[in-house]
Amino acid sequence: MGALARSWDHPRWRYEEEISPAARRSAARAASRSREDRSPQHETVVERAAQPGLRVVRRPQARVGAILLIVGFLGVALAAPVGINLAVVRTQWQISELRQQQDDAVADRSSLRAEHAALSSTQRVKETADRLGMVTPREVGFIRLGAEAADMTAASAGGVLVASTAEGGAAGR
Amino acid sequence: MFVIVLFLLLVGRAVQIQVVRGAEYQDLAQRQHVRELAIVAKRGVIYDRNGDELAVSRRMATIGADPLFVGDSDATAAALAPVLGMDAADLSAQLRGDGRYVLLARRVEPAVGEAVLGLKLRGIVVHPEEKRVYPKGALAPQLLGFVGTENTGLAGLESQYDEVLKGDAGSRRVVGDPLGRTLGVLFDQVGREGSSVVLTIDEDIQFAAEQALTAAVERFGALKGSAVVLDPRSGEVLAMANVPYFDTNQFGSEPEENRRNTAVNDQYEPGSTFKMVVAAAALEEGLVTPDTSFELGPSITVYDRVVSEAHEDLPAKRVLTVTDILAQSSNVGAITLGLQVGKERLIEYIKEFGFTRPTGIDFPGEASGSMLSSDKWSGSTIANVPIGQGISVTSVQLAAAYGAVANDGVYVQPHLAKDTELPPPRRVVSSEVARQLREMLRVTVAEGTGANAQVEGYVVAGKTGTAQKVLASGKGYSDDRFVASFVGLVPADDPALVILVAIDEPTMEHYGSIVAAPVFAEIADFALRRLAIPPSDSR
Repeated sequence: MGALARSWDHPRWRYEEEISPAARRSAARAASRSREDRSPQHETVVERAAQPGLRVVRRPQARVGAILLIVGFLGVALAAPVGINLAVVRTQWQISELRQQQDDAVADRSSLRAEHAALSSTQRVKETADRLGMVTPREVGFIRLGAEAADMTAASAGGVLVASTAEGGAAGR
Repeated sequence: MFVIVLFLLLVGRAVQIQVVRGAEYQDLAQRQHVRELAIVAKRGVIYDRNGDELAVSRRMATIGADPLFVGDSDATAAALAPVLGMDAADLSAQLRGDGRYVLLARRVEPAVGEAVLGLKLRGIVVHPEEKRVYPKGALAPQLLGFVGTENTGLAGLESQYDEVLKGDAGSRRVVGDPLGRTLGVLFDQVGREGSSVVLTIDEDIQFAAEQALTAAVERFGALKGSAVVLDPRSGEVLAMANVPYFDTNQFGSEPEENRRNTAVNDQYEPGSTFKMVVAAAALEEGLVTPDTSFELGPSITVYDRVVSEAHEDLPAKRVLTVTDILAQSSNVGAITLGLQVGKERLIEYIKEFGFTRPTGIDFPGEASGSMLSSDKWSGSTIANVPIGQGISVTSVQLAAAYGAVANDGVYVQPHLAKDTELPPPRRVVSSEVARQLREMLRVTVAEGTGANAQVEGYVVAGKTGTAQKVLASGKGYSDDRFVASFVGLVPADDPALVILVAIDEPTMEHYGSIVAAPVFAEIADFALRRLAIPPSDSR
């Protein structure tokens, strides 16, 4: 029975014991003798007879490892561009989203600007003033200031301070 | 072993697809799924001189549909109709169309677009689109003009400054499915936004001018009117009003005649306001002084033409100084001055003051004015031109000519946009003659025909004009169709403003002194306060 075949591991090589039919027969004889006479010398004979069938083979695991290494390398080489592409797409998407937000903000600003301009239109101000009973002052007083004060307080009015003589009025607008 | 070989084959194929022919396949895929869309650049803002927005662009929503994907058009139309304010049956008919795109509503409020998106209807798309908005409504419509459906300026300053305002279009690369639906944006090539334009116009003065003009046109049953408010020192136009006016946002629906910027695009015979030019020529040539007097009759005959004074009940003989000629707007006196100056020199001064050619104002379609060329003047033409007949001018030409008088004899080109490149100012008459003219024009308002132009607290100088309109046949003048006008400088001693008012075909009254001078006073009163110009007596 194949129970006679056995193998064991060695740190670098794998040894395999193969027993030929002649050796098997010799071993059987030796076994029967050993039942009669169990001397250590007989056992040594059996082991020596088996030695010619042994041979050393390379471990197949080493080749598989190399293949796996290559495959792994190729896998990484293929996956890397995909990963980079994904990252680029994701970033583009984020940029696109941010740009959209910016567009929305600009659009809101434009709308608010238009709304503000409409609300501050002279026509609307006048209508509101009329509704509130406000009138343009009949007379406007101009106070000429000293040069220093004029610079500080009324530069936009060309050095004169403009004041209304009517209550609550203001010159200009 | 077989598995390894298979795997290596797969890897090899993958390398071939991704690396060897990667670019080719990418290109193929892009052509199938990636589209390039043009992005219209955001149009620049038009500001008034104080930074108030007169024209802005707003993002609106445009609603469209792809009938192929709509499915149940009736149900879709029923859902959309109340949101878009459209008839469901009409919508349904549109949604059953054969094409791949149907425009349902263009440039509606963004909220409407949001509402449509909220319905989650199949085949309905909402995309943003710019719309030009004029937030001040009915303010300076003829001046601002309008833009077309593709945001291109088609009239007014929108057209004049289109290149500046429109910017450069960008592009957007989008990825879509085979059915044309956009799945995402890949890349935006940002265009250049349009630049803004700052006008010399003052919103408040413009509004005041339009209000005063409208009231006068209504009061006197006139056809239309125009007004120009000019800073003579800088040539900046502070207001340019045309009546009737309308909401600028409705420009497209207004009749053509209302869209015209009469002050620049139309010319008319100026009448007596032109007498200033003759007086300037006579003074500059040293032929007269303001006090030179003439003995004048009620009419004058030049070749075959007899010209009478506009006012009746005049004595057979009267003595008028040059100042009186202007103050009383004497036709006979002006023609007498014109005869002294002579044809050639008069033509020279007319050209020097900027008549018969465009002022160069930055507005499209400026009329040049017209006058017979020197060789075509008949003997009696010299009796027409000095009183403002036989010559056509635009309001802006006349205002600029008076601006030269206000600016110590130096002519500055009028303009509507700040930072406009201008030709160098040029001297038309000497500073002394300009001062004499201002004084004569002051007397005209203080004691002559321009009394209604007076503004409390300020000294005003100016000249009235009442010009008969030329008959439609082109021969002769109408007896009942006039252009009433007034051009004034204020304050007279150091003019900060030149204001011209022209009212076309007033029916109740037709004299410039009655119809136009009060409008001048009203506009001047407001503008002087607005600009905080101190009264003459406080200076």
